Amino acid sequence: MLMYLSIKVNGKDHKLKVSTTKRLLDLLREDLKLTGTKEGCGVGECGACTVIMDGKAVNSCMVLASQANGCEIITVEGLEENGELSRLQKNFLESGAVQCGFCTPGMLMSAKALLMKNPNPTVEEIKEAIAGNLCRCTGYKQIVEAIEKTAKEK
Amino acid sequence: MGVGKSVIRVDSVEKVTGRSKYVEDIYMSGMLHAYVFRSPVSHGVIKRLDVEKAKECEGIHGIFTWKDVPGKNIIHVIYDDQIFLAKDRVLYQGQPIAVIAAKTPEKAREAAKLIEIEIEKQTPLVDFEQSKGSDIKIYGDDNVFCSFKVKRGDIKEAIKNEDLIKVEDTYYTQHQEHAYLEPQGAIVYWENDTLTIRGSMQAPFYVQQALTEVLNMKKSRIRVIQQTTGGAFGGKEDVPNIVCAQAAICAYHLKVPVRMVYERDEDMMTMSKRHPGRTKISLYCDKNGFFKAIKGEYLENAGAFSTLTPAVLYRGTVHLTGPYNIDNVDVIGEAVATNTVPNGAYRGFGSPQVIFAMESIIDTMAKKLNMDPVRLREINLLKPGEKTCTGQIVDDSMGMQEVFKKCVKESDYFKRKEEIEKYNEENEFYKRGLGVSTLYYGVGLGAAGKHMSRCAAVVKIDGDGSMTVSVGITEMGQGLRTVAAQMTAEAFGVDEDLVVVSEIDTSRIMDTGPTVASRGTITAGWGIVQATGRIKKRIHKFLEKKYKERFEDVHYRDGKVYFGKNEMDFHELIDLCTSEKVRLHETALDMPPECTFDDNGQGEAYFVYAWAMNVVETKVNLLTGEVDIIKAHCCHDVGKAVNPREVKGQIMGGSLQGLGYGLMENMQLSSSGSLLTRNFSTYTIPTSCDYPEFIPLIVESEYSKGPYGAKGFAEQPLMGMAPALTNSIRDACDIHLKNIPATPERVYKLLMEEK
Ligand code: FES
Ligand code: FES
Repeated sequence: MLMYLSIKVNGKDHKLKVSTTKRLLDLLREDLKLTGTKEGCGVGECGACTVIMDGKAVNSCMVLASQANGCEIITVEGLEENGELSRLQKNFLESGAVQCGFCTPGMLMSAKALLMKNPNPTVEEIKEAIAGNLCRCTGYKQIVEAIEKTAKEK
Repeated sequence: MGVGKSVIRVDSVEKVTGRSKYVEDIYMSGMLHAYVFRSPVSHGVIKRLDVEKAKECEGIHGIFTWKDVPGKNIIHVIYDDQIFLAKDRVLYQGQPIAVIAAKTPEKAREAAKLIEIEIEKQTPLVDFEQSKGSDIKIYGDDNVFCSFKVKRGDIKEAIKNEDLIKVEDTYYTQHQEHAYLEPQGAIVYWENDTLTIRGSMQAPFYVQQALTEVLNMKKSRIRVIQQTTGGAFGGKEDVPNIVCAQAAICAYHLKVPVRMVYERDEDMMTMSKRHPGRTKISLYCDKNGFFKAIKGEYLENAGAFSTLTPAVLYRGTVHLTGPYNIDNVDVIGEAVATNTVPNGAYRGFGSPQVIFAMESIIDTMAKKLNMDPVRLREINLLKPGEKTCTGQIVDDSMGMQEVFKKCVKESDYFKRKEEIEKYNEENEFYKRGLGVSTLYYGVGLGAAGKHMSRCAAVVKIDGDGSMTVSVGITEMGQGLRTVAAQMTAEAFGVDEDLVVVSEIDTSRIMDTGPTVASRGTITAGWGIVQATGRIKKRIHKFLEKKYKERFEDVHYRDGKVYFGKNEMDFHELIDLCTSEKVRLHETALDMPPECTFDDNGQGEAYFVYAWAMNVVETKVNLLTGEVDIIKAHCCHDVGKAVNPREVKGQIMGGSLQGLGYGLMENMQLSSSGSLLTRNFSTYTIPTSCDYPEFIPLIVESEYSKGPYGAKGFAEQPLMGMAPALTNSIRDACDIHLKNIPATPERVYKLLMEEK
């Protein structure tokens, strides 16, 4: 079955006709060509597909596009500010939080959702916020440091 | 700028903005999706296979079986036993039988249900300890794929000495899943008459070779390009041969782009893993604790096909006795077949299994001698000029002693040991412990892989001073592109910004073997040093001719060039060279130092070794068996840290994989060989809540033959973490784990037995 939905993604409004069984992840990647959001497992276990939906980090592989009707979404493509890397992105580079990069977009979105809600998180809160985002490359420490640094800079 | 600086990764901006294109991000017009129909059973004979009805489904463009393979129905790795698409027998659950090309992955999956197959089930052989000589035949007469031995001194004579103290035990290790975050994938399309493959992979030249044989096409008509790769760890060494062949057979016949991206459960079920192993060790030492003799037996479960097993077993056999001075050695390694998924390369390559055993048994010996495990290691560790188990003298870049000293000091081992003792006296339900491991790693392919060991680079400087470098080594997250840019920039004393490291493309660069065995930095580096060196020589000659003067040296620093009394801007120099037609383009091909290995396992097994020590602190809950990893000091001799930040990244990332292996990663198989852990919900890997306080430590004992002194080490961080962890648990509560992972159930059970 097809349905119409309206959705705001990275500040831009879209009206789309999509199948009711389509995942938000596919809507972003296929219909809107925002391929920064990754699919690592498809079952809500890895966090590579994390986006922000109405201020909350969600696994977009576990959300139906229809559930996102009327919602506001932020993806990794929406992180840059005025064409420049945001502080969070810069700190990821500078802390060595990126290796293969496949977890990175999801990681950034979980971090951003945390900082939107809680601008001064403790290390424990940071670890908690990204506990659903697997990274097999870095050992996490650098990622946690990047988020911590971003919070401190504000 | 340059070597030794923590420059920011050249690929990280594209990665934090989501602009990097991985295989799943490539969409081509008219693109189809491939999906594999697989064996539902672990062992059987195919009686009938009919794909005709499935072919009629809407959205299906083709279904290909062994009948449609234009060349050999074999995926070449080392031996040619791996069948591409099963014809008459299936040897493991998930073995590929047919490839479906469809408009969408969903349609392909629906069609797969209509494929008709009759398989006569046979009893599967799952227990690898029963494999050798079993009535169930998987490979040859006895199911043994290969064996290696290392014999040194005279073990029989040595152990006649009745004063020697002996300890003996058998250790078991499990499968380990790579869990690279990006699943396997490739896209294959025609560009005029060239079949082009873009894939997530470590070894594009392997893929090219495999496809040449499967498709019966000339190598030059098969162009393999490595796409941005989301982690590999060995899991994308040989396995992409299979994945790419699956997509390629569809594109070959249908003449449209075909993309194949594995779903996670399919990936976990059917792709290679770390070999499960059994290691038996008898270690003998004198009353002062000096190791005198060692006997080792290493058995690897290879799975249904040999794939990379011979190479994996070689490394395991050579690494069993560790970085210790032992005169009498008798080690045998053997790999056998089972009806389970074929195992292959995984960071450490056959060595974490035996290191777990060796490092555990050393702690048993320490207990028996009433010596501290660190002291016992200290007196036995190799010193420069001494010989490894293969009789190889280690003197160049031999940082073991320095690693040991640094790690003991930085971890404050002895003081913490006392503190922990006190803590344990005061606490009833929680006990803390310190565990160590010391190890070494032969860098590169070694004698077993020397036929593939080459290094090359193409360096080209454009008129504006910017440069392009091509090497045969892939970037999979480890930072190779950054390191290659740094080494090139260093040669000309300029900023990395001027250097572009191009994607690896088999049509542009020669085969320099796979990106494995921690050989990336050294292999790319050798090529770069040589190619840039030749360009510099040419410039030198040109300047002498131009200035009609001999210059001792032409020196490049901070964007400037100095020769004689002259100084010139680098850009100015390049501009001049370009206008005067000096060739600023060079291709270098070189062979690394020779390796040898004779029938008794004696020789120069690897050209250089990396050295390491780990100290791990844990806290054990005696009521539940749960283990918390508190702190980990991980010290590695890397030759030269070309980029210290990235070296630390390798240390921490690798160490956490090793801790996962030791603590929680637990692949489960049913008694019929079916893999039960198929996603991250059941196969758990460490999360942000599991990593300890990491203290990565770097030692740089430069390798005289290495590029800028570097030698490579990136597997090593994983290799010794499991025993450091189990030794620390043993230190905490006196239980001896002979199997990993140290799950709460296993720890608890041992605690109960201990009581
Ligand atoms: S892809 Fe959504 S959680 Fe893994
Ligand atoms: S950087 Fe590779 S998974 Fe996180």
